[in-house]
Amino acid sequence: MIEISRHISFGQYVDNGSRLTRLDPRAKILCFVIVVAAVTYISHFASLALCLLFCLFLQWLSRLPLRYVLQGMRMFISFLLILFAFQVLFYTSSTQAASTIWHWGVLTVSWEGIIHSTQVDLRVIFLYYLTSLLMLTTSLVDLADGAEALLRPLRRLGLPVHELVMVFVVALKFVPLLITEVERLSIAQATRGVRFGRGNPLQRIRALSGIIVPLFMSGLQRVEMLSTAMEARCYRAGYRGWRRSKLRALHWNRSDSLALVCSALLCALLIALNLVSPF
Amino acid sequence: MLFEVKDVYYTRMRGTPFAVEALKGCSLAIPEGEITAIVGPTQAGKSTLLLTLLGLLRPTRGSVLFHGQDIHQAPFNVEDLRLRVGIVFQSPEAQLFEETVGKDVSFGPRRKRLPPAQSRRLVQESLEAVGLPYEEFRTRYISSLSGGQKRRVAIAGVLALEPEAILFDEPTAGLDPQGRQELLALIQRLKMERRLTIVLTSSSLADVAALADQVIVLHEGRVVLSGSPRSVLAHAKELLALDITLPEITQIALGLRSLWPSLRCDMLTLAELEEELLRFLPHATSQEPQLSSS
Repeated sequence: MIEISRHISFGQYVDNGSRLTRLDPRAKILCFVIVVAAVTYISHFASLALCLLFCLFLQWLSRLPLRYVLQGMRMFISFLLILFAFQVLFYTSSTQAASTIWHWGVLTVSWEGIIHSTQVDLRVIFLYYLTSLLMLTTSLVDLADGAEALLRPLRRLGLPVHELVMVFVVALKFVPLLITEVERLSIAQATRGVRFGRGNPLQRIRALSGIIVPLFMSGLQRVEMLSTAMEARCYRAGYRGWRRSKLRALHWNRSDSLALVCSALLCALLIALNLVSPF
Repeated sequence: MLFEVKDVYYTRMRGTPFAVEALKGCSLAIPEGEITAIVGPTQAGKSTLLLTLLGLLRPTRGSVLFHGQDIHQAPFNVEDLRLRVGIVFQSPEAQLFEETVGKDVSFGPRRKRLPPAQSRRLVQESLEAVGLPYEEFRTRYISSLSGGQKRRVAIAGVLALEPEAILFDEPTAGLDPQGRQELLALIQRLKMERRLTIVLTSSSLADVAALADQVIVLHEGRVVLSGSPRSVLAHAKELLALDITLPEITQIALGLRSLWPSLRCDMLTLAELEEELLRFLPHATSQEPQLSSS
């Protein structure tokens, strides 16, 4: 309970100087978007296997400890398992020739249901993995700069791109902040006799509920502090013709083009494999 | 012994790329009814050590004993330990979580399910022990208090648990000289009047040398020196190398060593320093301040 940040890797950035961290954020985001699109499309085991190979390759490139990344996914996967049970139980096949294994009322377990749900959940796991890897290898500033550069054309349509990106980044920034806050509160309450992670589920929920209200309070206080700090440094997003300059300009290198080409090839391969493979 | 720490190792953020070894084979003992000061530069592992004492962090290796019982072994209940030993964190913001002073101080007694009358009496006594009038502060909002007042409320919240020991993490950090004196006097009073065992951490010996019965010097997760303030101050040169602020008297004595290399530096009061200096100035008497010429 006390060391929650150890178990949550979402939103963390690990600056280990690997090839992935050094990639231009624009390239990374573009690659991410097309690969995610392809992974959302595929559904057959053959292309899912190729996707697994690709993820292993990325993992090797990132030089992150595999255990650390998987640890961060543990909670998500246990959530997914519950979802899996529901998917299987309530699966209704489009063709009537479902090979039913077990049947009770509206609940049915069929081979088609199991296979279909496995495919869907594997896809979701890959999506989660890709997203967390993007976050682990890209600092928030880079992510914001990249997203802003890519979305710039939308300004023509009158969309406040900079503001939207800023809001998104601040929201992400608050994930680790809130986790530290939960740690602080649980330590403060544990020192005065609250028991966390003990007793029956009802007692556990009650122990946690004492944290929620102070968590919101301090979260709001932080928001206020942050906005004061931004105003004190004269932050103005879209003030009449002002353009915010950047300390670090983004450079598009050969490796960035290479990454983009590779991702595009991979997507083509995934989709082709999905079309030809029988299962 | 109230606490015994035996060869404790602790790695922060274990299993992540951010892992840091905070304690590396730390062993020490904290006697009952005394003031123990844990002194060391930043990153020495002082705060981690305090959290380990309370079982809030589980050592990767080694054991922590409370009254001779291992706190992580089955019959021992860590939650009971936390009700018997209180902790005051470095920043009071890290500790206060209720809306009003009264609610926050009464949190402990309410958790213990004490009858309302007794709980009220405890809150009143605790607030008055730290110098905050009960009627005036009971309904005040925490957010409207000053930094010094928040710290007092945090201490009152711990006192309301009626602990047998209190751990203070850097109690004097961020206080002005007067606030520092008041707080150290309060700690002394808690020891004298309530017979509490006190453990406090500091990066400066200046505050704690006169107060502590025992000083433990921590550096990079290990105990490098321990003993009475005097015996620790005798190693003033080494302490200086560890970035530990020394009391003014010790600093003066160290400076005068360029004149008299055999000058002792384990004095705690000005009177002792004067006596020591007179050994080297046989013709001077204590009334005539002839030192200024040197």
